[in-house]
Amino acid sequence: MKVKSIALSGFRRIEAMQLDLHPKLNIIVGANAQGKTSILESLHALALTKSHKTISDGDMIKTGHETAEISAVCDFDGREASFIITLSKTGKKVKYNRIEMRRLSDYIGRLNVVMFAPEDLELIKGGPRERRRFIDLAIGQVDKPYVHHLSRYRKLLKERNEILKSMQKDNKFDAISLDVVTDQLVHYAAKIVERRKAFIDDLSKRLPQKLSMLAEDDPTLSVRYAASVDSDLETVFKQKRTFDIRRATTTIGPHRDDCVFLFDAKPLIDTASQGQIRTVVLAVRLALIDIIRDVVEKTPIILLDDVFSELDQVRVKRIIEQLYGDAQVLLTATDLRGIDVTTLQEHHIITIDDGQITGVDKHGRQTL
Amino acid sequence: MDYPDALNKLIESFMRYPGIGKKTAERYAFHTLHRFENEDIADFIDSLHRVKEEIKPCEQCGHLTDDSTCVICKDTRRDQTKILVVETSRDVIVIERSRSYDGLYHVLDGVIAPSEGIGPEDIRIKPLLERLRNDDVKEVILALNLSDEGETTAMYINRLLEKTDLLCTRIAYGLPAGGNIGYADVVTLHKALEGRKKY
Ligand SMILES: Nc1ncnc2c1ncn2[C@@H]1O[C@H](COP(=O)(O)OP(=O)(O)OP(=O)(O)O)[C@@H](O)[C@H]1O
Ligand SMILES: [Mg+2]
Ligand SMILES: [Zn+2]
Repeated sequence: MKVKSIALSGFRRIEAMQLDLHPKLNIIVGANAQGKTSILESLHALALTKSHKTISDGDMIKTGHETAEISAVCDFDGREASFIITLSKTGKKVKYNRIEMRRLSDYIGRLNVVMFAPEDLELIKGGPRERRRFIDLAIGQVDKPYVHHLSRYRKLLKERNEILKSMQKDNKFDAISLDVVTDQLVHYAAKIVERRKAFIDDLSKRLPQKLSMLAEDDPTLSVRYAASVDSDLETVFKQKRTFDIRRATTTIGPHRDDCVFLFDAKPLIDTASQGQIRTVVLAVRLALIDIIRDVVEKTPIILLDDVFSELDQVRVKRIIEQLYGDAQVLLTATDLRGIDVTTLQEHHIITIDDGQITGVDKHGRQTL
Repeated sequence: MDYPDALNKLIESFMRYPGIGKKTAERYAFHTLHRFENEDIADFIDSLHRVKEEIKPCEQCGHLTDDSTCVICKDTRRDQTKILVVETSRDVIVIERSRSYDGLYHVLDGVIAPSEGIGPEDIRIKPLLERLRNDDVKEVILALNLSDEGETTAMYINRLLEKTDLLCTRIAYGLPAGGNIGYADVVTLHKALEGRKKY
């Protein structure tokens, strides 16, 4: 899959922009705060309907604007497809081939992206919320029913918490309401936990090989799912019923789960150096590319935000080698110094200034 | 610039309808002004008054009627052993048009929606239970919308009836007529498979 062109309006600091992309490598160059990351973020939001960094969709809308729109024309082995997402203060709308998709689960997963960004460190250093977000976005790319199950779970969770609250206050809802909603919640919780465990197992198996490509003598990397409930969900929800009523909230379930990254079977957060954490999160993303490729049988669009400024040349070269011949890559840099252009294949160098494209340098094979 | 007062008032009145924006309301108002005869206006006013005065829910089933009980409840030829539970009066009309059902109805007037604070007491579940005390009734058929709240409400009623000897059934959900499996969404397919039956 390739993105042929993208158009943005009212997105972050970008008023309006239209950009044709090279099918292989696109290097976006510009000084700080000019909008480089925003371009990558826009593709992430277009594909997954969420930013890779901000939780609130509204943050992506340009200050003073009502809506932000991102659209792209893509190429799937010669077949063209268009994607549009419109973000507004009240919600988002997505269109695939100009047809509005009411359910996000019918939309997400058609365009696949993997982002490498400075925020990835949060996967190790951040809290369970960041890790769940990573897991959910990743599975969502390869499993449509999962997106649906997750959205049902979230709504039922909200309903269950409303019921629990009301049972303490006004008794608008009775025990039967609680049980009926809990039964449905448990049904989706079980599906979600099972799918997440399978994903984490798959990821874990792929990690040592990815890490060894980036660092010579790091310990063995793995990851383990840490569920808030380790036995049968239905039974535990029954046991926790009175406790939840007293606390007026749902104290267990996939919304309280986590995962732990391990070096030689010990949580790596306790021992790993800054540099090691950096390579670990790179290995995780590289493994994710493979997972997506194995399922959708196409290489996702690869977005590299500021990855090169953080790493030494040897690692940079290894990553580039890792990124397969057929991938379309967009990478950002404040200048071209860290990048050895002569080792690269055909590419475009796109310069950005003040939220606008100021030049596109096209480097074909022949010029190298 | 604003319209003269009377015209403005009329436009605002039309805008109270769901789905009617300013432009449509203006078209309706101008249409009223230019095309309606005095009798048309009198008819209009009369029917507006009459719906408010005459139409009320049936004391038994909740379906809209201009009498204390509706024509369906009054019709003794209908199968008194079955009650079909729906969300709105409109659902009754649609099912009646299909001529595929000959029992009684019960209109809930909504669904349980915990995230909007709508609980079992806010819809007509109690009146349903009252009706079920009558020994004639043998079966309750749930025909609620295939929405998340419809599902919760159906499960709730089913739970209430579990301990009784009433038969509680629900209509099957699946592909629409002429429906193409290739275009069906995940939920529809899931429900269609769940509701499969033996040939
Ligand atoms: N919603 C918004 N409306 C307007 N401007 C915004 C909005 N969100 C972010 N910005 C501005 O956009 C700029 C950041 O853009 P971006 O992160 O794309 O820059 P960058 O080129 O990647 O910079 P760096 O090299 O520092 O990473 C900041 O100046 C920020 O104030
Ligand atoms: Mg940036
Ligand atoms: Zn009636």
